[in-house]
Amino acid sequence: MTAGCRSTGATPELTKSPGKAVLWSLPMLALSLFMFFGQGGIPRDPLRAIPLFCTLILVNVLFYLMIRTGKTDRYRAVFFITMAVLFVISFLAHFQEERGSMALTAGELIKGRTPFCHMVIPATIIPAALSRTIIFPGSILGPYSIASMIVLWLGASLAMGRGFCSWGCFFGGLEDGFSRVRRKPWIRKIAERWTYLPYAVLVVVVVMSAVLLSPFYCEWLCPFKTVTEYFEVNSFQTMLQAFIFVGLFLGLVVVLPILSRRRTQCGLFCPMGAFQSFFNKVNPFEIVIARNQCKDCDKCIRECPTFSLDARSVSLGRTRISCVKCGKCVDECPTGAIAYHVKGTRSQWKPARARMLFIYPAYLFLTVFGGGMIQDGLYRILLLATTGSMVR
Amino acid sequence: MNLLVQGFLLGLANGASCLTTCAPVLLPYLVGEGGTVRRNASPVLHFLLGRLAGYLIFAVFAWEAGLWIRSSPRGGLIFGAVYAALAIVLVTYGFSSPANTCAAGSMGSRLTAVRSRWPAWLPAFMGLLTGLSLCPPFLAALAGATSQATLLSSLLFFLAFFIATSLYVAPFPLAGLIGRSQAIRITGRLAAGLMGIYYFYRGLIMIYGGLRS
Amino acid sequence: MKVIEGLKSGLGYTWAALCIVIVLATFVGFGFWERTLAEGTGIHVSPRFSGGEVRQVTEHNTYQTRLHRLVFDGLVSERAAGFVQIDWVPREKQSLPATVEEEFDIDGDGSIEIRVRVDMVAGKAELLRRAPWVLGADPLITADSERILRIQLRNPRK
Repeated sequence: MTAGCRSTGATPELTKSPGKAVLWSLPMLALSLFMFFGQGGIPRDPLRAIPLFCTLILVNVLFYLMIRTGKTDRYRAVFFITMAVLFVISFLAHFQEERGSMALTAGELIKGRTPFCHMVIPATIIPAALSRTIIFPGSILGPYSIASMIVLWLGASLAMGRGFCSWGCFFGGLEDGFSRVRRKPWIRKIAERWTYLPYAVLVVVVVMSAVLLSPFYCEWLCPFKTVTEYFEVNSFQTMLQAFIFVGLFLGLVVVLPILSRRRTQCGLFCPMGAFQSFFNKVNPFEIVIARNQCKDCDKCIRECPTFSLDARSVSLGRTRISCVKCGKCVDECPTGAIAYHVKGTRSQWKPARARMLFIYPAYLFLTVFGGGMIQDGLYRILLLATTGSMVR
Repeated sequence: MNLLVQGFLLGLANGASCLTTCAPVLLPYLVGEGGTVRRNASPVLHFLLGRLAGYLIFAVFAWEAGLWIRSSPRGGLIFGAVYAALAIVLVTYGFSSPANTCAAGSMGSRLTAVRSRWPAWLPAFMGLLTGLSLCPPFLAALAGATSQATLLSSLLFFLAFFIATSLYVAPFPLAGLIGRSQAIRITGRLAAGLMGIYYFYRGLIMIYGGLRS
Repeated sequence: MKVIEGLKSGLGYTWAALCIVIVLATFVGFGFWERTLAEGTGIHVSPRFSGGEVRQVTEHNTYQTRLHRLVFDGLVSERAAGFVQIDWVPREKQSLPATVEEEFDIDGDGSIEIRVRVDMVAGKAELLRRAPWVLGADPLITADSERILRIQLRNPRK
């Protein structure tokens, strides 16, 4: 770090002038304009056009603030949480329009109209490799299709590693939001062995999906069925499944994050997150800790939402493999000892450059992937306000 | 001799399915314990012996009682109880606290003490319960065994079947190699516990079905 | 030493800069990647969900009957249990009759294995089994204007 920097974790070079921050934000403005308008121009329907412009403004204002203040997590979280909430509204409205309810019936399953979600990807790999079939009742091409989600996931994983969990996953924003409700945690200590539970869940999901040839996680363990779609409750089994989904959602996505100020579903349960961790090994970005600047206050350990920092990893100057690259530890470190880093380069050398190289692809992904969800969610809200219904 | 060949060939043909029953039970345990290939041969052997005991017990029942357990409406109660017992073993093993990881309360201390005195009983018990459960290739053997003229021939048929299916389990000691790191061992134990929860559900469903009929 | 460090640095920054190219390529070439993945890998939805390929189509006045192939697909080999799916699909702007009664040779060996009577209004199906490896019928499924029935089977080859 250069001498005279403030001990807030802010990157000094970019906070010197608003003009410089605008210059650094211009490429994102150009890219967002290209991605938003390049596909079809300005919509004629004002109920579509207003959300488009609102989203464009939100995206670019947040990015500018991210550059200007040097704070990553604060503004990423605003976008991420907004995306998650509006995704739920958009998704549920879509089901109402298509089939009249959230319930997933046997007919919908056979017709291949179940939207494919990234959470099921690990479970599909072994059967896909051995039999070239996808054990999911979706469609290969089209909206919400298997191929489309796999392409998006692959691009995100190569660019961000497990950063996908903080810059892409449309479910993560829900618990990210709940984890910020309280100012101080009630539950301060969670035993370290539970941080390995996501990997155990991953093993069980992958093995059982291959044995049963059906997506075990979707059928039994997905908390987000509570806010998307669920199996029609018409038997003891489907009632039990609904009970599990709602219980996991309330426990891991709402209550525990509020009490602990951590993303407990991501850090203590999500098998997809565990799977994504391995992509951190083949990603050029990482978070490093300068040991000569660190004063071992443990603030980063307390603040990390996914339990990716502990005494051992801090002493080694790095995060655990589960790091989601949200930037919270970078923002919170009082001595500025933590920074983004590009593998292969000298540690703590030009951290601002490393940060910029990371947040550009990460924020662009969030903008394009999440921007559509925000637009449609806002459209549904405007539709409700003007017509009394979220569906046409 | 013809009998042994028949049982052996049937076991070879169906043994891959054995993996779907045995792997979810045994692999998390082997990974959770870590250890070398040589060290893991012992729990695998105990597991197989437990499984053989389960097979032979069932062979006796099947021949003596003429499939009464399988065809009886109360069969679900018995097999459900077997699954539930297996589940309790796995859950207790998976979520108890071993000595070399962070303490998680006193829940596992009694189990830890028992395990340290009788290390062989756990995989053998898991093997027994797995052998008693209705695994798909086992059903194929059951049909063959119950058609034998004497109890001895039924037992020999099952023995030959068991040997053939055990060949598929032979590579399992290698699983311990990936349990060299503590993180993977903890993951293995937790996975065993989670599998236990699933088997508990299956056992409850079978018990419920048995009670209703 | 400095040369190697410089080389590592250069490669690191290049790799990092490529990430924005990856993200752009993902979205700009999205349709291309999607089709390439689908056609290049030949992946398809598991027949345990889709019902498998249609083996035989029988034309009627106002509807079609589609008989799918037997589905015993396992991970590497066939499983001991499976099913066969039958769809009743009305023609465009037509509707299904109130009841349908049909016989099916489900395995193509020339002999009839099942006879099915379907009450389309009540949404119920009755099955008459003529082969020991036919186990039973699942509840009749409604999908749009179609009716779908899955018959559970034991694999006669196992």
